[in-house]
Order: sequence, then C-alpha cells, then structure tokens
Amino acid sequence: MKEKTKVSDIDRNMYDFRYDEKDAYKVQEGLTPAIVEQISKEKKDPEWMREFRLHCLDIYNQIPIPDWGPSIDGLDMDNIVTYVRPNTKMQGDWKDVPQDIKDTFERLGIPQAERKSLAGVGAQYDSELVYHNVKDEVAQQGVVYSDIESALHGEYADLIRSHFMKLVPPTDHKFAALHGAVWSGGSFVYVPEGVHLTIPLQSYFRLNAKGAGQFEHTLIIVEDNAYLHFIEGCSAPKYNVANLHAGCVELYVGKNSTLRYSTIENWSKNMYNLNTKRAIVAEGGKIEWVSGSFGSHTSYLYPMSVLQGRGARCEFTGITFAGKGQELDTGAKVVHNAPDTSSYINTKSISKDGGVSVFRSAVVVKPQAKRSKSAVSCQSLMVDNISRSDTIPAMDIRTNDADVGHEARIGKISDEAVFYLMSRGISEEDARAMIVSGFADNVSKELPLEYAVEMNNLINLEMKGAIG
Amino acid sequence: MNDMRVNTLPSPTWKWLKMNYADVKDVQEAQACSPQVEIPEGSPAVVGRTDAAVYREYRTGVGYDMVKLVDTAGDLAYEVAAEAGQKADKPVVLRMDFDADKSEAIRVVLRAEEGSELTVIMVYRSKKEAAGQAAVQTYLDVKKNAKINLIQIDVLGKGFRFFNDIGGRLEDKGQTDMTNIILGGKEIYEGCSVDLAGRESSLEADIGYFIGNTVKLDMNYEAVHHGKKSECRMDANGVLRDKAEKLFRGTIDFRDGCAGSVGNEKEDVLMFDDGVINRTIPLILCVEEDVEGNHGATIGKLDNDLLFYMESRGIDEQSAYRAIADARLRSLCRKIPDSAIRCRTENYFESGTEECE
Repeated sequence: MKEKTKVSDIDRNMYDFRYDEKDAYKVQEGLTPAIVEQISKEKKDPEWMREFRLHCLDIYNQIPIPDWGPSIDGLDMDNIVTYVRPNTKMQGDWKDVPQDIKDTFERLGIPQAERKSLAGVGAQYDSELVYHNVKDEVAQQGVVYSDIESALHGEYADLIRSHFMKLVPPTDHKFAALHGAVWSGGSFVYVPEGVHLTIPLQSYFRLNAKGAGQFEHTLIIVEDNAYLHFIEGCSAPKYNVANLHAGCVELYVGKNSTLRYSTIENWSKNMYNLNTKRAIVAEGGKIEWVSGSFGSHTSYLYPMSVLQGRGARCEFTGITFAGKGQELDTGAKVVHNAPDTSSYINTKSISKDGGVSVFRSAVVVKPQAKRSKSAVSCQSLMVDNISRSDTIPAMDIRTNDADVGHEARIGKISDEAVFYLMSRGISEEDARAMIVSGFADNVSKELPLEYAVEMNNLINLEMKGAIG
Repeated sequence: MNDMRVNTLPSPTWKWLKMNYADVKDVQEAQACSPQVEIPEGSPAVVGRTDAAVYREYRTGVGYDMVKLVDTAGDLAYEVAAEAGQKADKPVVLRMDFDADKSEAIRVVLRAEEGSELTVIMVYRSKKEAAGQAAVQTYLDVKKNAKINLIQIDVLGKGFRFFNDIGGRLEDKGQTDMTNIILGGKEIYEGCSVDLAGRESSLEADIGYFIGNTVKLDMNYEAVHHGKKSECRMDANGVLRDKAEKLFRGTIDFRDGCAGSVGNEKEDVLMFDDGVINRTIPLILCVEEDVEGNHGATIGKLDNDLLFYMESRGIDEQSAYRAIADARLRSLCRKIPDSAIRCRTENYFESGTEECE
C-alpha cells in the first residue's frame, strides 16, 4: 500500500482509486424542490433549515450562471446526484468505519496524520462524515470539533442558526444558493476565548461517487485571544463524467485571535470546483489563508476576508498549478472595513501543457478604513506556449489615507538558470522541475511539513514529462 | 443614440465591482465639428479627408458604440499623413474648439507611411465654464519603420461630457509615442487600443490626469501584442482632488506568436483629498511562453518620508501635495513639442486659464 509521507511513493495515482458505492443511499439526479425536501428529510433538518433550503433553491433558480469566468458548460445539474450517503453512521473510532472507506482514508494517510500531528480529524466520504474525533486534551480545553449536523441538533443549535450562511448569504452567487439548498456534511469548530491550539485540526473530503456533488459546510468560530490552525484536504478518483464540489466555508475570527486556514486541493480532473470561502475578522484579529490548487477540471476559488475590526489583518499565500485540461480561476478578495487594517496577498501560478491559470483578486478599501495598507503580488510562470496565464487584479480605494500597492509579473523559466543547472550535471527536466519547485517555495514553506512534501512532489510529478 | 456601453474590459471580472464596462445614459447624437488645422511651414505632412472605411475594423478602446456615435455626425474623417520616407517632426496641431450646449463629434486618421514620422498635437477646448458633449475618435495607421508621436490635451470646460477614443495598428518596427494629458471636462471616457501587429513594433503611452470637484474619469487602455519582440510601456500618473472619481483599466495582451515581447504597465495615483475614489484594474493576458509582462501600482497619499522632508524645509502639507502634482504635470508637459501649447497647458493647470504671456 502506498503511503502519503514517503516522497518516492507519491504520485497522482494515489488519489485515483475508487470503490463501488455499496449500499449507499442516493437521491435522484437533478435539482428539484422534491429532491431538496428529500435531502432535508433524510438529514432530519429542523423546520427552519428545511425552509431555508427551499428558499435557497428559489434563489438558485433566479441567479444566472456567471459570465465572467471559465466555462462551466460541461456541468449539467440534471446529471448531478446531490446527496450520496455512505452505508455507515459517523464513527468515533477507525475500527468501526467500513473497510472500503477505511482503506480509502488509510491510502490517503489520514489516520497516520491524526496519530502523528493533528489535534482532531474529520473525514467526509461523499455527502456525510464517516469519522470524527478530537483528542481528549483538546476537548478538555473546551474546543468543539464536530460534524455540523450534530451541532445543528445539539447544544450549539442556536449558534449554528445565528451563523449559518450569514457570512456567505445564498444571494451571493448561484453556487452559494445551490450550496444552501443541498448542503450536507462538513465541520463545526468552536475555539473558546483564550485557547491556543498549537497543533492543527484537519478535515478531509473524499468524493467517491461517480457523477455526484459534494456540498460540505465548514463553520469555524474562534473567540477572542485564541489561535487555531485548520487544514482542509480533498481528493476524488477520476471519472469520465462531471463531478461537482460546491462547498462553503464561513470563518469568524475574534478579537486579537488568529486563524490559519490551509488547503491542499487535489480534486480529480473531471471536477467542477465552485467553492466559496469567507472570513470576518474582528479587532486585532488575523486570518491567514494558505492555499494550494492542483486538481479540478475547472475551479472558481477566491477566499474572501472581511477586515471588520480596527487593526484586523489578512495574509493570503497561494499557488495554482494548471495542467492539461484544467482551467483554474483562483485568487482572493479583501474588504478593508475598519481603520488600521492590513492585507497581504502573495500568489504564484504555473501553467503547463495547455492548462489555464487565472489570478483574480479584489482589494476594496472603504472610506472608514483610514491608515489601511494593502499589498498584492502575483507571479505567473508559463512553462510552454500552449498554455495560458491571466492576471485580473482589481482595486477600489475610497480613502486617501491608505497605502495600496500591487505588482504582477508573467514570464517563462529562465534559459540561463536552466543552462546553469545543466552545466552542473542536472538534466533539463530536473532543472526545470527544480526551478518550478523553487518558484513555489513561498507556499510550501507555509504548509506543515508533510503537506509541503506532498505539494512539492505534485509539482515535480506534473513537471516530469513536460520536456520533449 | 440613447445609451452607450463603453470601455469594456477585454476579460471581465466580478460584476459587483462595476469595472467591466461603463454605461453612459442619454448620449446625444452629434453634429460635425471642424478642427482648426495648423501645419508648420515646410512640413511634409498632408491633410485631407477620408471616409476611413478601412479603419472601421480596428478595435478601439472605447468600443463599437463610439463608432456609432461619431457616425451620427455624418462627416468624413480628417486625415493627417506623412508619406513614405518623410519626417514631419514639427507638430501638426489640430485644435478642436467645442461649442457649449452642443454635441459634436469628429473622426481623425493619422497615417504614417513606410519609414516616415508624424507628430500631431490634438487640443480639445471649450469655454471654461461651458457644458456640452464632445467625441473624438482617432485611428493610428503606422506602417513599417514609421513612427507617430501623438499628444492629446484635454482642457475642456467644467460641464463637458467627453469621449476620446483611439484605435491603432503598428506594422513591423512601427512606433507610437503617445502622451495624453487630461485636465478638463466633467465626465470623461478615454479609450485606447493599439495592435502591436508587426515585429518589433512598440507603443509608449504616458497618461496624466489631474481632476477635482466631482469629475468622473473612466479609462480603458489596451496594448495587444501580436508581433514578435513587440514592446509596450504604459505609465499612468494622476492626481485626484475633492470628490473626483477615476477608473483605470489597463491591459497588456500577449497573443499567440508574440514571442520575445515585453509589456510594462505602471500606475501611480496621488489621492489628494479624502472624498476621492480611485479604482484600478490592470490586466495581463498571456498565451505565449516567451514573454515578459509586468505591472505595478502605487495608490494613496504622499510618502511620509517625503512629506517629512518637505515639511522640515518649511513646505506645509498642502503645498507639498501641490508641488508634487505640479511636478508630475510638468514632466508630462515637457513632451509637448510646442512651447506655446506647453505654456497654455501649464497655465490651465495652475490657474484654469490658458492665457500665456
């Protein structure tokens, strides 16, 4: 069996395995009020959630498909199964998880990672979480890490109701509305005031079913003076039909707190990844996004930070690697809504083998955001002349008492650098891979070690075969 | 005419930003406008009239609705040309005085035949407090090894809606050096799209705007690289005062086959007062591996160190801002190759009048 943390063993095939959907419960393909009602019934939603889902469906039907990003013509909602429940309940012990699902996550290295370096793990398989656990010492500090459905029916029901899709309203865009209608699974994290969680929590999302959608909802509330690092991973086997991921992440960062949200996205190349992530940051708080986008056929992904309190900060570090058949439209949005706020966006993108990479950003500085600062840097590397790379950064500045800087650069791998490395006995292929890895270094060094290793190997793997 | 959609971004982004294009309401059909043409003595430049039919397929910055607006004037275009091998380095001046309370439009073709050079200054004027609508569409046709130097100066009245549109095509080693100084008007739409079609063709564009009150300035500049080793440099420098609002769209578009090309774009915006709005969207679009594209923007107030330096020498903050704005304008005005027009432009900036001794 392949293991994730062994460098020599990592390749894309480790994600590309599948199991039959044995005894799984599915709704019909398509999107109708009856299907939404059925999902709501299956999930034993409270009445307000049932009504909310139907309201979202109405909104979904009213909002047009976006006409500014990559084509999503290949995505037909009539062919998407919006809810697939694996044949198991959520377990708190690996030994109780069905063997095929357990094998899946073991091949992805999740239990090993939990033992070695995580404070808690959630594992979602298709539409439901199948495993969730948090270490005792973490729970004893008052940290809540559960599936969102349990929170919705338990003591945090009111908290969920007051926060669910308030930061990302269903009117935000078509796929936010879709998410609201058919969401299932995901995690709820609550970090009490003053708690510094020194080791991360992780959720891993695996979409196994052919032609299915995954619509998990992640809601994290970090109270004042606290710290959390949350890691999100995702993958799927490749099919010859479209799969859809339209998750939603809502992050509330309290006063003087820091939340680091790291994502390595490695969906299969038949996936439409139309995900929405948003954080609101209170006075003196900080959101740190670390984002690696490697998979998917088509991506729309722009984590947004609303700097709501005085002195709130945002850092976004991202890398996007678009290979053959991929159109990855990624970036970030920041709204400076209070004085003394600051944002720093630093991204790298690589386009290769016909891949399309688009960096898209928005920095909005409102009139009240006096003394705010923002810096955006995006660098793009073109590895061949059949690929495409675009940068589309927007700035809207409404006070003169702000400093905003932006720089963008597009270029190719330096022939001189390749020549230098080759003159020292390194093959051209390895030299190019080495340069690309170095280019991506600012992101990999922000990731926990084993994820950095995974990312570097993904890049290395993608680069192999690029020559000749 | 009724409404126009202008300055469309070549690759759109989120609608909520309201940057993808500008919609202009209640656009008035235009009458023809006759420019005052000044040809320096001995200049080989030739001025004539043309239907400009061959240029209608050129992409322009403002866009196709501009073609329709200028067509409503029903007039032939004014053509200024330098024939093959001729160097008309002394500037031809096209002075356009727009009448108050009218809608006027004019089309101009600037043509530089192989190995020639043409310098043209276009001045857009009206009475100081006048209101009206003016539209100018300029086509640049730059043949092999030819060069056009174009200086456009907007000193229109405080109530003017102004459309200024450029579309150009450069053949092998063709060059265009463009300076655009925007001082007047109330609602201004500036667009420029230049096709760097030829090998080693190059575009240099310096844009300067100095706007205040409630002036709205909406710009769309595009350099489209088709030719190998083509180069562009676009520098936009501006000062915003009072409640002025500005949107700058700047695109470097590296198309298939433009290997070896370089594009640089830079914007520096000084936001003088707290009520101003600055919006910027600089694009780099790229389908070619062997290119280099760079963009940089600096937006905000004066650097604190610079301000401290000036204040320590007895220059207060307002005077410091004024001095910096003045320096920016004068650096652009130095590119005006006519001392009288340069003087009038500087005076307009300083005192709102073009009077020169």
